[in-house]
Amino acid sequence: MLRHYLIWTWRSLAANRVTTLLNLLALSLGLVSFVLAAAAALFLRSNDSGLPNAERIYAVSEQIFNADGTSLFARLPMTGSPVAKYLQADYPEAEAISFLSGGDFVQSVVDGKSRQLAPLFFDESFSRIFKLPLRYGDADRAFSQPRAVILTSDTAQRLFGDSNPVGRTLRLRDVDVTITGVLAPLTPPSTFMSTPGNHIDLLASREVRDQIGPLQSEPDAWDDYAGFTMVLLPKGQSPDALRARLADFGARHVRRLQRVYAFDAVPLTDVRQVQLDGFLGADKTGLSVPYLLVVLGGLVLFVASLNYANLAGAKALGRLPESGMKKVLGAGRADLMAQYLTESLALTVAAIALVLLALVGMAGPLARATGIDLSRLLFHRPAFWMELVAGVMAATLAGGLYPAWLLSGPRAMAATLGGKARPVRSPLASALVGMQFLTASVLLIMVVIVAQQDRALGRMARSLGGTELLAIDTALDGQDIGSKDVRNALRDIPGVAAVGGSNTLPWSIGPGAHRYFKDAEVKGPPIQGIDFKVTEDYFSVLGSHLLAGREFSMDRGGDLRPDEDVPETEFNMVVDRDFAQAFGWTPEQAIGQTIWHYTLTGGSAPVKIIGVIETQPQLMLSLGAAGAVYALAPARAALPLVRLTPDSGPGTLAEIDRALIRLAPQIDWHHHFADELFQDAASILTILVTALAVLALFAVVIALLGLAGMAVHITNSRTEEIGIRKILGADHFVILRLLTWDLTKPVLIASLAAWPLGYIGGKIYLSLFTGRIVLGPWPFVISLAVTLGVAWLAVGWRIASASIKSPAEVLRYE
Amino acid sequence: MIRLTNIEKTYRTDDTETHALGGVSVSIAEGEFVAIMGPSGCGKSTLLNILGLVDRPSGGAYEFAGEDVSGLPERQLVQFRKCHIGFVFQSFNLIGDLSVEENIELPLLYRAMPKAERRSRVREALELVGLDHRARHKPSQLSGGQQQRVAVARAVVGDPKLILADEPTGNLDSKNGEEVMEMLTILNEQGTTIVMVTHSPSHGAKAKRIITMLDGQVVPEKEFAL
Repeated sequence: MLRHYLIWTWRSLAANRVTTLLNLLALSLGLVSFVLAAAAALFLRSNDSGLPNAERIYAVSEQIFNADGTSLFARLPMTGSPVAKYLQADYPEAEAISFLSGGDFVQSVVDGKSRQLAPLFFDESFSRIFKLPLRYGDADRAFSQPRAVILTSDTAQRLFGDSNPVGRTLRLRDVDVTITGVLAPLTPPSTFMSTPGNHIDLLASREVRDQIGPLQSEPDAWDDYAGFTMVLLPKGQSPDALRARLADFGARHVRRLQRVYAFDAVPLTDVRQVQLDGFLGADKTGLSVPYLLVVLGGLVLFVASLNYANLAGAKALGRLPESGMKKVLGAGRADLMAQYLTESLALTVAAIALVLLALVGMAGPLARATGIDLSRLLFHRPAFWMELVAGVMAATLAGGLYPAWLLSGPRAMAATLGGKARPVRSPLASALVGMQFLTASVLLIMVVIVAQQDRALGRMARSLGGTELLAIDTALDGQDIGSKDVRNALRDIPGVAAVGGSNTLPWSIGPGAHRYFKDAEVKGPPIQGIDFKVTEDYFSVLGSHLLAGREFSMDRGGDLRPDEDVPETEFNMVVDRDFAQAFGWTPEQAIGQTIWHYTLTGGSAPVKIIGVIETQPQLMLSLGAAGAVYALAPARAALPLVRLTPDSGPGTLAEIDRALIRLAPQIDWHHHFADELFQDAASILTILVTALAVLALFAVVIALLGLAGMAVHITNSRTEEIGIRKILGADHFVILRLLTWDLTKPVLIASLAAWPLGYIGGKIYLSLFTGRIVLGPWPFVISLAVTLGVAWLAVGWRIASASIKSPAEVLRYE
Repeated sequence: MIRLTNIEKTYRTDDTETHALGGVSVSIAEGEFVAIMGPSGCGKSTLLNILGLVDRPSGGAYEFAGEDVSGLPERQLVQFRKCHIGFVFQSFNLIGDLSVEENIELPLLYRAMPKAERRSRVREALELVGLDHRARHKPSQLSGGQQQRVAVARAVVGDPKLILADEPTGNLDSKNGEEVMEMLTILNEQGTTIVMVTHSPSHGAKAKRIITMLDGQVVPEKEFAL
């Protein structure tokens, strides 16, 4: 009997090529979306999963809260060095605890050429935890030698090509070190590979760090997220014991008023995911990236399944007479259900085959572009194949059970024996149609909002000055010159309009945020401001517009920010418009106002607002900050920024290069335009946004395929009615209006129902950004227009073909 | 062979109640050729559906070959139907995706008959209706008369005790209609009981007995004669 089911299945699918193709495409798209989203989620949770002992290695995470419980800094799998020191005593049963620090660029000389290299420093316990494979060097000795330096695979390739550099010397600052090994290429994601915003060129031992001198970020404070505290659990022990020690770790060891430190243990494999979640404000939005990816991929698959069930159900209604006849001829309910489930299974298997072909085809380009290795994450996992089989069964049942049940029931017989077989609209079918349109509309709204916000980010990048704002992003630590020397060297170059400095890029959230209050008792709701330490002429460099008050002056007492060790002294600040507005002040009203902030040693310190500038473009991740506050602190403004004149050209850049080399020929000078750096900083977000938009578009395409298929069925089922109406005098427009309303009524209802859901989703997404668009009506209008437009198009061509036939021809067809 | 006692059938919707049959009592002997005639809406097809066990009566009793089938569960009715009853419809009701021989084979498949036996029976049925040269054709490639002959072949392939024909010549021209009637007559002469609903007096006359219906009830023969 199975052979006959398969033959009938083939014939049925071939006889309805349009719906078969639509179903196949839609189901395949849905499955591909879900599989890719799941693969991406697995990728994020597979950090260093291939390393020995990976399952026993945990990173300590840290999150800092304000005293009132609100989050001050996001949870990240990184800490300062004190954590490792105290954890040794608190958790003695650990096999090993190691602290890794890094992230800064160090001036280096390799083969006589200046380079900026970013080291990751490890301590003596490192090699007890991590057994990193080496391409060159002795893995047993490379990490344990004094002043060990191991290059990453990419760095070795860049500096030495294919040759073996072990034994060669390079100079870090003014310290000569010998290369003891080269890492083998690691499978991404890995703690020991560079990512956007987190550069690693080599691993160096603690002795090297001690010798090269102080770095810009010294992670020796509890508040610094500049290092990894890694713990190797004893064999057979769960992480619960470690987590129990970390539960009150902050309360026992950290003495900071007005802040609460929370520590936890993160599996090594989850380090990348937790980093990304922290970066994207998951603690504020509750949206973890892998979870979001799987949910969105699942949503696309859900739309595909709805689409499948819709079209299968619609097709089934047209096959009632056939089913009824089979029942008359002796088919039982089980016979008919088996037949129709076989059809569903065949379609699902065909879709899976298409999906697997697509995945195999895209595996190589995907791995090269993103590091996501489908072969490792999916194909070589036995669980993947089991999940695939389960997915096939689920999709078969989801798409086939309803029509199978419908076609094997009493309605089939009635359709056959009651004269003409008239397909009856089922409430479930209408509900499925509505849900499909609803989901597609919500996704369309989100796509438009995401695209609008992405365009706004691009505008922000361009507004920074494009090719007129240059950042000299070269590490000067340990050098004889500082950023002041750089600024002085560049100030008089023709084509340079202004030179200033800041502790970080204008849109960075790196410096962190502080809370400010209206009163000295620091009570009441705080206003969070992102802190910048700048030079006197910083605002000229930014090209920012002073709205009220004045800019900083070195000649004015009170303008210079004192050393942070003496926080009680009042000093002056400039704030941006958004920050002033958060206190309820216009720019003019803010001038002369005094506000207070916490000091780390307790109490509060006053700052006076002397100027208000226009709010600068911020990348994203408001983290609750209302705006920016600026303090005059040239000694801490290590990043020189140059504003070029509009008529400056390549000659100006060449002159800048020459001036820098004259100033310090031993330094490997780097500079980038502001918009390049902005885009680079936003690259992670851009990747995520692109991925989300692609998934959303897939869902929209699937829903549209379903719409087209539904239009075919609906118009087919009413062919006789069209003929009769034409006989009675209806013209084309009456027919068009009738059928259009029939199809578009659920579209209209579902689209309108989608608006509140899309609004909520859009608000959540936009809350990630400081510079966010205003949520206007266009996403909702566009979503409605697109879904209705496609619905009308889908119906229109069918009606056109019916309307040109004579009524007799239509009825004879029926 | 068939005894219907006081059969009633009522169709109910939310607003209306339609009494399609009101106390019909009919007996049909084995080997009879019975025609059921009457105006449209008199309940002919409803009676035929009840006879064919594809619809249940709202009241009354139905005995088939000495067995009370009125209250049988669906599964047993399916079994009964596929073993004992063949159907011929006005609009042929062939499955469009299947070839002629596959359409004829269908009832045998549902009886889980072995392949060799199925093939043999299908061949015989095709020869009976004179369509062995069209075995591989699809229904859409046949004329109306040929399609109805395929339907007859499908109805007899399982060697049923009873054939129910609902206006088998309704969609055919006179020549083809005559051919189909001739086939039914031959089948009856071979021993198959046939109950046929028809509007055609000439075709009805070919039956050995005519049951006349009016308004859901059987008209007694003397009233019909008058």
